[in-house]
Amino acid sequence: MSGNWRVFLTIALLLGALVSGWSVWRNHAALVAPADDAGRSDYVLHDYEIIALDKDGKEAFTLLGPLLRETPGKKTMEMETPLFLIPDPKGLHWTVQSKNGWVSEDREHIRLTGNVRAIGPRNQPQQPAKIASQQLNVYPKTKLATAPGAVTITQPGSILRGHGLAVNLANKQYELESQVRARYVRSPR
Amino acid sequence: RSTDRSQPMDIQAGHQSGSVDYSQPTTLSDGVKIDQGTLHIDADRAVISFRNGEASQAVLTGNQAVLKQQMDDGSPMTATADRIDYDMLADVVVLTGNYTVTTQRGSTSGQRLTYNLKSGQVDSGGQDGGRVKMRILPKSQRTQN
Repeated sequence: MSGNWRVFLTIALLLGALVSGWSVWRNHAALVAPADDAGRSDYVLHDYEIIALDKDGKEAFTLLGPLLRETPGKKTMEMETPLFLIPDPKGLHWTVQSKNGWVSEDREHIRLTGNVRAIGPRNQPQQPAKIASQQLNVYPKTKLATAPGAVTITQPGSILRGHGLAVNLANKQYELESQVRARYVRSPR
Repeated sequence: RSTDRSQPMDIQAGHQSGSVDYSQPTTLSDGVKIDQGTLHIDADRAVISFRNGEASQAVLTGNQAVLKQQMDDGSPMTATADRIDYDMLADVVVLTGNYTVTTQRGSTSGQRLTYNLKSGQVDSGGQDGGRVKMRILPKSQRTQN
């Protein structure tokens, strides 16, 4: 069973970077509505670029998009066509984008919906890794990520399709609930 | 066929789980089908271990697990067993538990058989593999199926 099976390692690295970056940003960002804020805290950002820094002052992730706003009357956040730029350990960037983004009131659930595409760093010799689904949920506090529907993961040497992906970054376990179809191409010995 | 090993491998399963860093095996279940060139495997469950990110061993179980392959001379071989251990690095398959191997020349059955996919070498019985039953068809009865 030859071929490149490192598919899930790729996913875990990406999601891990997003989860850790988001956790740091969540704790410091002025955009986070204080828990006991009694008044309204509406804000709207147009054509924004947010660079979240980690505790060492390094880029945790960059978030760009045409519109980010707090949902009127709620403390949830909405984004139109958000684009996340997430550095990998070598400082090369993944891009994660979707039609819509939503963040829960406690900022502990990020939901990307509509043509969710994660594409690995492009200036590699080979084709970049790609993850495609219609929805991606990320839960920074519990370090979980799920893609409820169909998900396709391609990278040099393998294509993996399935339904219902769940990744637990804490215990490094993953699961594809059904309809698993994979093709692995042997890397030259 | 010995060329099978260089072909893409296609896997179908009803469920897959494992560890993202491949420190633990990947388990495929709910009906597993593996195709690689002329090699076709059907099993209820497959547990795949890794070395350096590449699949190194698969343990397939079923009631029964079935392995079909075309020999280099084009003739078909079918093996069934309760358990099939496929060592992908050594290209060796070990059948254990009520195996039967059927080729054009006849069939053999027993409790343990080792089959080298590269050399076609077959070792059965021994290592408390129990008794081996073998049926060799007369040339006239060998059908080209």
